[in-house]
Amino acid sequence: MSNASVYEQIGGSAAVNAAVDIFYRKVLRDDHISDFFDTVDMDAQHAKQKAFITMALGGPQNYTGLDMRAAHAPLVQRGLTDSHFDAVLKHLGDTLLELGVDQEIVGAIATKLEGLRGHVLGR
Amino acid sequence: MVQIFYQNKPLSCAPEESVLDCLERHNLAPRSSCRSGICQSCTMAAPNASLPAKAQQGLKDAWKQQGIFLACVCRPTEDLTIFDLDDATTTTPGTITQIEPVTDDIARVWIQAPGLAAHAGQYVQVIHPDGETVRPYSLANGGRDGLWELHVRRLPQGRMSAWLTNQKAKGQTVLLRGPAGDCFYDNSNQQRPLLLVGTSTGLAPLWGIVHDALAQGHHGPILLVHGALETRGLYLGKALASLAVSHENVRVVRCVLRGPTPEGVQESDVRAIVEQQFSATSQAKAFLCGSPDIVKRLRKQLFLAGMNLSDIAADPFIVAPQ
Repeated sequence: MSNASVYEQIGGSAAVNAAVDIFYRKVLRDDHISDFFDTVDMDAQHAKQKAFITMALGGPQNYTGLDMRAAHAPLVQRGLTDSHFDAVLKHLGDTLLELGVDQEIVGAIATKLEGLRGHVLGR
Repeated sequence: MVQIFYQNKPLSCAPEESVLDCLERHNLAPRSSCRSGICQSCTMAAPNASLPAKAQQGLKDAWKQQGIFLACVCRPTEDLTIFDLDDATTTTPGTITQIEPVTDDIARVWIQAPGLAAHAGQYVQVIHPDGETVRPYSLANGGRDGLWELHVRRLPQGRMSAWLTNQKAKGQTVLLRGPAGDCFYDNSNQQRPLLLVGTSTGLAPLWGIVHDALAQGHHGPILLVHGALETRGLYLGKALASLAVSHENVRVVRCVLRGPTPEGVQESDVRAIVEQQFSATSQAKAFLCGSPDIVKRLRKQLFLAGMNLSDIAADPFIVAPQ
């Protein structure tokens, strides 16, 4: 099953909204990474995470590796490392499993996101 | 460098500089208040321009299509030609008919403005007769018979609030622009639990919303929490108590951070009250109004407890820099 169909399978944009709420709650509760997500503007943060999850599920988006690099550069300055990246991947995986996405598909999504690690961490 | 064209003059805009900062740097400041993209005091127009999305956040679609934007959060990435908004076409006149002090520094103010169409709980920009001072105020009622209610707290050096709370303002005409904001009752689910939390005059929109909800027949449980630093920040206590007596689905908690506490007022923080007395489920709807810090923390608290972010309407009252 392709990633594009995962996006459609879980219900497109509306379902991603639900996924974002679950995912955002997980990262805010995780003291190891919450500082990177805790902001005055929760709506803007919500929109960013929606774009991220849409991308992860293969939905319509136009992120590039360079965008990811530029967007995360300030966080790298603040100490973003592999362990934070790993935590985000785990929370996203758990979110998708909670929503009933197959383990196998979650694994494929994680593999795809691995390809962004270097960009996100500025390497 | 990006150029802004205003009143036929080209002004250079520094990278990351907002239109408002740029105009002020050139001594051409438009009106402004919160400087953070919320109050809509500094709206200007740039017809047919491509504007950053942030520059139009929270504006109604009709305004977006006309190129209306918020100067304080507009950081242009290409040349921009901008205009002042014509007050005559975007505002409604209102006459101040009554000013009723309810504490030493808070007054209920009624404005007769039959041309205004808004929901109780939304906010409007009030434009002072000087034409320069503009401040946002929440609507504490639904404008029955064209009569709208505001709750105004007099701030030290408050150019608008000192004027609005003074009896001399009675009979004067102001202009109202708006409405804006998503703090209002929506009757699509009349069973859902409602949480209304306000600090000080953050009660104004809640007062409007709770009456609107009851008038429309809301029958789910309603918890209204009114908090303040000290009792002088609380008002309408008797009216709130009788609202709870006459409606079995309404509970009211009044609290202050620092005592003394008169009868019916607890010494507690609004967040603790909400934590103890409200079940934050994905069915609930919340309205949070007043102190930006409390609104922000409470929004996060309710979200983490299980509410949907989109069901938490927040209206932080940002005081204009003097």
